[in-house]
Amino acid sequence: MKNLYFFSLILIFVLSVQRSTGQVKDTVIAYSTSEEKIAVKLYNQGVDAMKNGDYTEAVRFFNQALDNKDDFSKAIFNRGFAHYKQGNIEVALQDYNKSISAEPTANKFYNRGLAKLVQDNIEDAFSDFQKAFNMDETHANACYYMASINYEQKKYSEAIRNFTKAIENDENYAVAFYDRGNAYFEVNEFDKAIQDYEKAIALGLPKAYIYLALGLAKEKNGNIEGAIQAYNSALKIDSSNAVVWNNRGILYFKQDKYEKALRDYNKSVSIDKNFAQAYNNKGNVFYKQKKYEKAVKCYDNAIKLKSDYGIAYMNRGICKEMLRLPDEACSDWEKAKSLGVEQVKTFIETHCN
Amino acid sequence: MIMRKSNVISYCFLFLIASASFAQESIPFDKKDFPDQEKELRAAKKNIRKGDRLFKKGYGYYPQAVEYYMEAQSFNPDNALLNFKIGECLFQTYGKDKAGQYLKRSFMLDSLVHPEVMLKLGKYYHFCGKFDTAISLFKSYKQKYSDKISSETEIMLTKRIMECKHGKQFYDAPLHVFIDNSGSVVNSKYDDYSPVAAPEGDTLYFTSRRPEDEKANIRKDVYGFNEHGYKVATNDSGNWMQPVKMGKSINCEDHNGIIGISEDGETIYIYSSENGGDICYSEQKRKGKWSRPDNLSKRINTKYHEAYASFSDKGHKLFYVSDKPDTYGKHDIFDSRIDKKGKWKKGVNLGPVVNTVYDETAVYMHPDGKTLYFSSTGHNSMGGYDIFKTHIDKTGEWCKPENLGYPINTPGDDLFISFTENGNKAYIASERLGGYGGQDIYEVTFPGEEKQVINTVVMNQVNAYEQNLLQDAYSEPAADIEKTFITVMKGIIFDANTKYPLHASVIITDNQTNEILADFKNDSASGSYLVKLKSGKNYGLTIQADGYLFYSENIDLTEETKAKSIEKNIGLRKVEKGMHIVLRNIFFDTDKATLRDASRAELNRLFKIMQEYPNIRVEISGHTDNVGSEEYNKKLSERRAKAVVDYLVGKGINKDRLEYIGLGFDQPIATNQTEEGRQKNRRTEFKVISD
Repeated sequence: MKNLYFFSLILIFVLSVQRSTGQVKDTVIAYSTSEEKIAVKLYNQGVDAMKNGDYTEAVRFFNQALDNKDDFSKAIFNRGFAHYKQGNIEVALQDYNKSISAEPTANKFYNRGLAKLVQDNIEDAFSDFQKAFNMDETHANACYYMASINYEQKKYSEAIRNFTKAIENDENYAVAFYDRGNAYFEVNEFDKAIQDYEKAIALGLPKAYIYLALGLAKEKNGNIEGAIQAYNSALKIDSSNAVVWNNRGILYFKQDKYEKALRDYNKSVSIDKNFAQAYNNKGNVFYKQKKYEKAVKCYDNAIKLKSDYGIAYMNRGICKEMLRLPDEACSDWEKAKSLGVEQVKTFIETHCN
Repeated sequence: MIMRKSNVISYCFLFLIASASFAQESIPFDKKDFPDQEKELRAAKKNIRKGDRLFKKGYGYYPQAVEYYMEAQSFNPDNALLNFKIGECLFQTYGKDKAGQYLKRSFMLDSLVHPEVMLKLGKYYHFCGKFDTAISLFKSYKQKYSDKISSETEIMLTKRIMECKHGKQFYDAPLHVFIDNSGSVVNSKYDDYSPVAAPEGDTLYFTSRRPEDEKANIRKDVYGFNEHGYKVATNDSGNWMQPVKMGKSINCEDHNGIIGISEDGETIYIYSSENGGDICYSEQKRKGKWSRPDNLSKRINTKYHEAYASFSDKGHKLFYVSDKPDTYGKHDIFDSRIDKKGKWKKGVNLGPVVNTVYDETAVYMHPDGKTLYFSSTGHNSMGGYDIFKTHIDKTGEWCKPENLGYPINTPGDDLFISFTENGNKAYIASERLGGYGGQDIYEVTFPGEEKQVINTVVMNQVNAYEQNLLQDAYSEPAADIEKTFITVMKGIIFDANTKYPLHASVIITDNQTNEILADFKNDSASGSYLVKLKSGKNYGLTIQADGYLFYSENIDLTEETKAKSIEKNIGLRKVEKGMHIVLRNIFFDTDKATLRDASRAELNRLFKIMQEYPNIRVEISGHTDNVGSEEYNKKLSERRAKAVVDYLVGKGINKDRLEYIGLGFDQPIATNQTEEGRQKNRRTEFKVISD
């Protein structure tokens, strides 16, 4: 599918180059013009340039090929591809459109879908992936991207169905397993999510973010130790991932291992000093340790970095209450309420009359 | 009114052994240790003697004694016994926090300077909530002096150890309440206790042992200054203003205290030290003016010690405290009801579920009229007095009292509880670490269940597709020219009869598009021809010469994967009766008689012959291979032959010139054993039947 040839491109032109002139014994029939040969050669040079990652040069070669043969469909398509790789999506789309009008194929629709997706033109992208799939039901990538759009649109059951089609067409489609895992996660099917993440890892996709997702799913399943192990694996791959440190800290917090949690949060904010959530969580450790002033400073930081951080306002209010500052506590809870934090409503009713 | 923790210790014993074996580190007040400071030494010893005299007089004089001891201490800070005495004085009075350093120093200098050092230090650690240390000191003390201690002391030690164990449990599960000292405006360095919250919420009555004048040196009993009732109110900002001593009508005796208040706040209950301690009441005549206290009732007040008054049942039921002879321990809690004549009945002991062999006091009925609070040194106290609560169950019996727990209760004395009207706050009196001295008034705030802070888990589930968008696009691979396979076809074109070379046209057609790809003449002299055809197409090769029937060949190179050479000598026949040709470029749909478009070029050649030779009649015959039944094949071949005839008729050829016949597999021209042979047998023939 990926390497679809367009046989129509190599049209055979049979014509006599040597006419019978009395003594001619053989009649030689050639099948290609010199312009076509040149066009193919230039086209191939363009393909070579793409292999070397030189898309500018590739575009130049494809342009020259098209100067020699203006209906060279393959060259038009590949030029679109080279433009796409350079981020020139509009130009790429023009070439894809031309190529599709000449002869529509699954891959052409699929490529155009990708370009539209880059432009955030989600609906048209989906329609192109759908067309690609209609032309070739084994097109795993088209299924995958339809699923990804479903996922983005929070249509998780449809996403799961399409990811599954992608996997049925390509049983080693590691990324599809990972993304289907995410969709299962969203519908609270954590066992299935874990299974998919583990499959993605087994298929050789040992990215830190998969272990992060695995950790989250295991935590949701109540397997705190398993989640910690997943985060440990993530950190082995990438110890500079502030999110993983933060999330592992929360697990230690849940286990009442406050010092360990604090170490993880500190590491997290040392990597990303603008990580509001890690500051909030660090504040929570201090709260548990009854170091309320220190906790308040952490929440202050979190709120400074993320002014709509309702949870941090709520937490700071709780600490202010412990510091016997009821007015400030109520003010924080009111702010949290305005930011949509439901939990504070009872606090306000009970303490802020 | 107030019961202090009983620490009756023989201080004579202490002085008897004061001169006994000092440890090496302890420095005695001796000439040889201070050879050049005779005068200072004499002054220090004099201070010790003065301190000792006050010490002997009792608790009330301990603060003064400490002043003299501290003078001596500044001269010689390393005397174990002096450190012990200072520690003891501070611990027993208003300086428990400070006592620790002297007791520890004494213990370190000479742990045997006095048998009580170990015990007092244990009590200090107990007070501080260092339960394990306290337990080990109590146990060590018990073991070390097992042959000397009295049975009372042994019981006390057992109780202390038990209290420490209770304390550990309570400290492990602290309550979610706020305890705030009411501050230095309300509290003094003396005992401040018995808080009674007035219904209006902004006024608090309490009792204090503070002197009217700091310089006054009048101590009426061993506890220090006399106790009196005070009133304190909040200002507009909610802060306490300076407490005001209640007027002489209330504070008319040596000891008076505010011990209760009616629901409407118009009657206060007063403790009077007269008659061994009685409960009196006073009514507010106008704002701030109270009537002279009257005795509550002769049936309630005996010659023994009665105190505290709290009511339920709209003021018809009274709870109070007395140490009259029919108690289980020291003070017990009693209740009484108003009889038909409006008089209080004789008090009834609440019974052994509430009252213990220890001391119950400071009774308080919650405004809900059901929950009874009191203080006790018994039950599961964690040290000194703790506050308990109980209620009457469905059977009408008092339930087992429940310790309110830490931090409302501590190992020190925690007594009295009085709730404000909305129930969110209460006042207690407590002697605990961090106070202003002695007992202080504390505010207890009940913030409800402990609020849970929320962590933010960062999901950050990376959408893999966003990362793969650029990688996942397809591109076309290189076009490989060299991989096109050429079929070379060559041979001689000649007259089939004479065998002479013929000068003929060679026409190559794309059977897919019916496009004529090439049309040229062969070499006239040799009759030779040569064509090169590229793989990937289905070609029709037609040779035709004037006066001859054309020859057609189908060369299908659609799936060709190698270069090859075909030599084919072609004999053309003149158009005459009996002559026939195989039409190689007529194609039908599988198992049907539908002509494919690819057949059109060949059919048109037939049409042309029929036009050029208007007199000939021809027979079109259909032939098949031997796959399938004979009948089926005959019918199929006949329908196919007819389709060719119909085409020509459709183009305008008279149908009388055309015949068709289906021969099935009757006339094979090749073997039916091979696919190649079968393909040759599947054919259409053109035969001239008259000219």
